[in-house]
Amino acid sequence: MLITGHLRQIVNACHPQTREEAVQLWHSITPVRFGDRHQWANSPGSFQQLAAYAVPDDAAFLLVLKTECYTFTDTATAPGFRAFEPSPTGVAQWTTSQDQSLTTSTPITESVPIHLITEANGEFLMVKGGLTLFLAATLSAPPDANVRFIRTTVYGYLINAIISDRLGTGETLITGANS
Amino acid sequence: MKFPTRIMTGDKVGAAWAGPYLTPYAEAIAEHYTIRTPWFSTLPITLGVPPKRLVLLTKPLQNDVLILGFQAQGNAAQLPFVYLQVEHTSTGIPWAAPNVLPGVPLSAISGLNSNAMPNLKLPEAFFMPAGTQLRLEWNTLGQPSIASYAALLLTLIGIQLTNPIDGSSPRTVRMPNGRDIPVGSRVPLFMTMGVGNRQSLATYFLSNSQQRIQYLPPIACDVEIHDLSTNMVSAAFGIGTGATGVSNLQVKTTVMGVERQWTPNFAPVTSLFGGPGGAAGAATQIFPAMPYTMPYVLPAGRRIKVAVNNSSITATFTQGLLTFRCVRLCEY
Repeated sequence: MLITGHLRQIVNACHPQTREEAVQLWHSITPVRFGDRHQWANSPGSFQQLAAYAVPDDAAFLLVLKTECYTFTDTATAPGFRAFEPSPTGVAQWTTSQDQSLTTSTPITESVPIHLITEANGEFLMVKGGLTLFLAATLSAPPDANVRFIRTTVYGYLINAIISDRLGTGETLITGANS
Repeated sequence: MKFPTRIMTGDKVGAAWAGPYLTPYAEAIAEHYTIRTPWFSTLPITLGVPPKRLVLLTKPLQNDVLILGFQAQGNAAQLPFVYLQVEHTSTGIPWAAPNVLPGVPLSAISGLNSNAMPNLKLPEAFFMPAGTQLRLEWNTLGQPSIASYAALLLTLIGIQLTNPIDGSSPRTVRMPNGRDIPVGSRVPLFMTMGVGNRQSLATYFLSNSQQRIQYLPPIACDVEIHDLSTNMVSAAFGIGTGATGVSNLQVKTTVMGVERQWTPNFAPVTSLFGGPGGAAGAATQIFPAMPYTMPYVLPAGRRIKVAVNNSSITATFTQGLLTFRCVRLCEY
């Protein structure tokens, strides 16, 4: 029910005056869930894609509301085999690109400690139609030599221009630092 | 019993050529003249090496004309990748909806001479008053890779209207539902979307096993959807059977912003969309544009969501295009 809950929150946040308006808003939203599974590469400092989605041209905006990310090892003999571990260590940021290329993408958030991006239950970011959204991380080395995978899930919602007009002022600022 | 519909005319004969029938709107205009003559006007177009942008104006005509359809003569394998924007210079209303692509694929607006049905009717006849012109903007892109486009001929097909019964062109016509509408308030509209991710400025790619959701642009007026065309019904994409065939593609359409307007399942793309089809250099299909199940009125400001599903685990599609052929209902 997470997605229907999100839908309800989006509609309520638009403050519809009538039931008809609420119905119109509700039916103008398309939920999109996306994310990647990648091996946690043992190459500290490398730039790694954790999730990507090309927002359709006439979608107006993609609204990102929640991100989940965890790591695990699939090596049967490794300690913590298939146990959920937190996001990988490092920094992460959201970037967008006009040509679907991570390397040519432009950051839309700071590069911050990764938990600020990947453990976000109240994310509120908007991405314009036609752009590709990337969740990109610069990772530290894994804690040991066992192969680890990173799984990321992003809960996004394609919204129309009416909704984005009403909610756009609420975009999140994400800031922080490692020490 | 009067059929309860908001559609002002419908299109009695579908929008494929289907014989010398006129839409009620066209018929009402034609009846305003005592002399009606079949009319053909052919324009040569040389596009050559892509990318190319070319603007041509049709000659101003001495008499009023009803343009009913188009035919293009050229290399049928290339024509789906020639993009055409049409604009009446007096009104400035574009026929292709504003979108990433610079117009409508020629195979979706015009019949191809080698097709089983070489002429393609417009979704609605276009009334072109004497002395006015059409602005034709041609574009070719870099995808798919075509070294040089063969010369083509575009023929506008219609009826020349001479000697109006009251000495001047009609300002309004009466539709079958008894309503009088201004002449010029029903204009062809073509809404084209690429299938898949936009990889560069106007190159689309749908990967194997991929699903995409895309939207048509919202239009400021009500729009009647009449028929649907795709360049993917062609040998380049393997119409018919097999792992690489277009039969692996399914689509689902939804009208956004309203209740009870959704489709519960995917349908094969060929059940909704017609196309030129055939092997390279030829075109074989009877329906270059498949008539919709009924002329469907899309309310102003609403968008159609199209979900495309590639069920093949191996086949990919490059520069697949879907075109909704419509009538724009605006009264200016």
